[in-house]
Amino acid sequence: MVRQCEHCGERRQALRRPKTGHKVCRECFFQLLEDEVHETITQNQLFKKGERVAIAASGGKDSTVLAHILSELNTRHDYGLDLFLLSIDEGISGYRDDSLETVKRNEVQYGIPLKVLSYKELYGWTMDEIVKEIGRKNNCTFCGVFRRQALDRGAALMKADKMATGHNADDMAETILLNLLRGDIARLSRCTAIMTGEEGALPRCKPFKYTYEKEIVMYAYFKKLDYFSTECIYSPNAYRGYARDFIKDLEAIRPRAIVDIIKSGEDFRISSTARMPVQGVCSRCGYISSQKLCKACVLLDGLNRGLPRLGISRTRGIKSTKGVADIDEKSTVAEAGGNGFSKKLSLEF
Amino acid sequence: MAACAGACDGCSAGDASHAIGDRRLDIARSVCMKCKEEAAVALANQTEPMCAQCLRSSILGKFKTVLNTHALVSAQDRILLGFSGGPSSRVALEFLAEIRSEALASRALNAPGFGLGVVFIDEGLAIGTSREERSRAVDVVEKIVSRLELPLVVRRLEEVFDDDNQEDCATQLKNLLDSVKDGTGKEDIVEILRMELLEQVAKKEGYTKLVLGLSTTRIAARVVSATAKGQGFALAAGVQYVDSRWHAPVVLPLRDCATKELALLCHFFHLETLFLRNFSTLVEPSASTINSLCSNFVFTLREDNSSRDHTIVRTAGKLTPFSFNHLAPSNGDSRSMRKRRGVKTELSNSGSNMEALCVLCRAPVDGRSQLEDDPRYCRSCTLQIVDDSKVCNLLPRHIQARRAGQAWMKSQIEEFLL
Repeated sequence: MVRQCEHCGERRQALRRPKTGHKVCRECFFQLLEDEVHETITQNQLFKKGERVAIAASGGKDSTVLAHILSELNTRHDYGLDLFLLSIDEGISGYRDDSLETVKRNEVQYGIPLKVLSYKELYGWTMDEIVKEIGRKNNCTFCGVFRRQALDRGAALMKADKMATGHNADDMAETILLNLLRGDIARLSRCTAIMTGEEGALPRCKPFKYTYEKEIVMYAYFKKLDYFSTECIYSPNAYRGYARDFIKDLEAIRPRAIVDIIKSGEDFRISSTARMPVQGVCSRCGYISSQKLCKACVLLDGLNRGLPRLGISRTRGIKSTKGVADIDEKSTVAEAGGNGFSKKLSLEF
Repeated sequence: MAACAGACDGCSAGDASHAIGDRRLDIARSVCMKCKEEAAVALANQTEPMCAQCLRSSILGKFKTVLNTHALVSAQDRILLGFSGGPSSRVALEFLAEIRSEALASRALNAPGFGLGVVFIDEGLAIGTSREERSRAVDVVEKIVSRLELPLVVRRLEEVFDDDNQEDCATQLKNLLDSVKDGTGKEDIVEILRMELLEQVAKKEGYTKLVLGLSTTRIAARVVSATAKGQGFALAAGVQYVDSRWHAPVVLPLRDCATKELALLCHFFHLETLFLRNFSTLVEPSASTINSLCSNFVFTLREDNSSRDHTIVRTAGKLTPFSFNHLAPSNGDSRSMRKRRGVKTELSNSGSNMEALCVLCRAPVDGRSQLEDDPRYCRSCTLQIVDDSKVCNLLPRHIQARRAGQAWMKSQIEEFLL
């Protein structure tokens, strides 16, 4: 027996919403999801009229759907934003080269200009080369730290006022859980913020903070959006996998639990006097850092000197004096990556 | 299941598990690291190979340290131990009995010669265990406790309804549980009723402190499940050493011990324990409750890093506690005396504001984000237990009679007060 959509009562049901369990038609689903994102954007005042916004785009489902929905809402609700896509090439063959093709197609499909920055040009190393050097443990640390800086540098180069990332509710829940498991109370207090770095030159926001990953997939599927669906080839070893599996099981018992975890994270009573890192500037590249050298410089230094565990488990030997024989042809961070760093950029590692 | 090979900072589990694997092989040949005489039989504190006797003294040492540093128990106290039959409460029973008899024997001035009693709550009706199984369990408990020559109180969970007629109590409990649709909510309401009953027993029999054998592992599971239920605000309340929301404050002397080492202790010293079913025992994981999912999660994490539960509890312990997470000052317990004994826990100021509490689970309620429906219940109870007003009416009368606190009402109108 064919049932009618619980929202409009006219068209027939096509799906059950993972977030709410409501049985709705396709059109209503699109509208409900888009309205919820619009609600998140307006209630949290994520954007201002006339802002130039970089959409961090990997070619995966989150960033593809983000690009699609943002450009849609930009028109529909007259946000007045100047959007462009920013993509980072980590140099993972068989993964990133394919997903970049997707982003290039997105550039055409949504009519949003694209800028690609690579680890090779910024740091002199691709992820494949890094993994060869350090193995498959802790490579996520390198990639994450480098990517963060790369995105900031790219956005600064392109004169963006703000960056939007596709972090969804599942990501937020995983991160909260991860910080709880690792005892990182400082990160725990900051990780639920929907916008970070407002004091700096390049705030970042997460319009998908309350959007379920399953619903993003559903949206892309029904809209026949073009995205790259393979996981990073190095991801099976990541600790985040524990949290991810747990959340999948949790969602099966109670779909609401994902948003509940986020709510818990927002409500945690964390004393504001808890040890927070003091923001300074990296003495070598000028990037924001809480230590004398920013993490990217430390990691890069370790790579260049053949000390792969420098900055991971080894602290002896981190040199902060300038003019240290950094040796080789592999460029340091300061030389590559442009000069958009005279402005103070906010960063939380 | 993604096996952790420690692919990110803060968790070099790959190295650790490799080392622990080595250590496991070595235990067969290694010597207790404490006494250096006997052969090691188990790992204490996650990584230290010890013989059975040193394992016992290590755990007993932790137990006593917690009691002393946080002044959980004084000589004037009458302590009631909530005994479930599991390894944690069995160890608590053993140690409390031992400390007490030592104190009585020594008659030293500052040694606590506290009163000690045991209570066992039979939840068989809620879980659905057979009458034979239930009476067998009670027999085992009676045997254990009588051997230690301690007073025992046995209560059935349905007695929380405080009706003279036992049949009526049983019916009321069944009706309440049937009306709660959510599986996790059902499990939680059973726990709430258990605590209510424990409080009633303590009050009636004149006990001044309630000891629960909650271990690090179980508290870690609670931290995760509270997070998953949206109880982040109240989470800090239930993870400290002291919880004074109850008529007899609840203290957790085993908070620093993992379930595993407590179970090992019971094994090596032949301390008899009881296995009791719960809602999730015979249920498929996909249909189980959030509580059991979180408990399994913590155990899975421990396989990769045996200190993970400690890290979780330590993190949760850093959240700002509430005013009731301190003990009220008692006679002969001046500040200077506490300082001299090296006591850490703060005393609560008698004049401090009491937080508004949910009338059901006593979770402190965040005045700002309250669901409009019924101010008496916290958001979590509203969503998973009392989602239907029918359920409200089936709760024990004394719970229904509780009103929304003054503190909550004030928080709602504070901005208008001149």
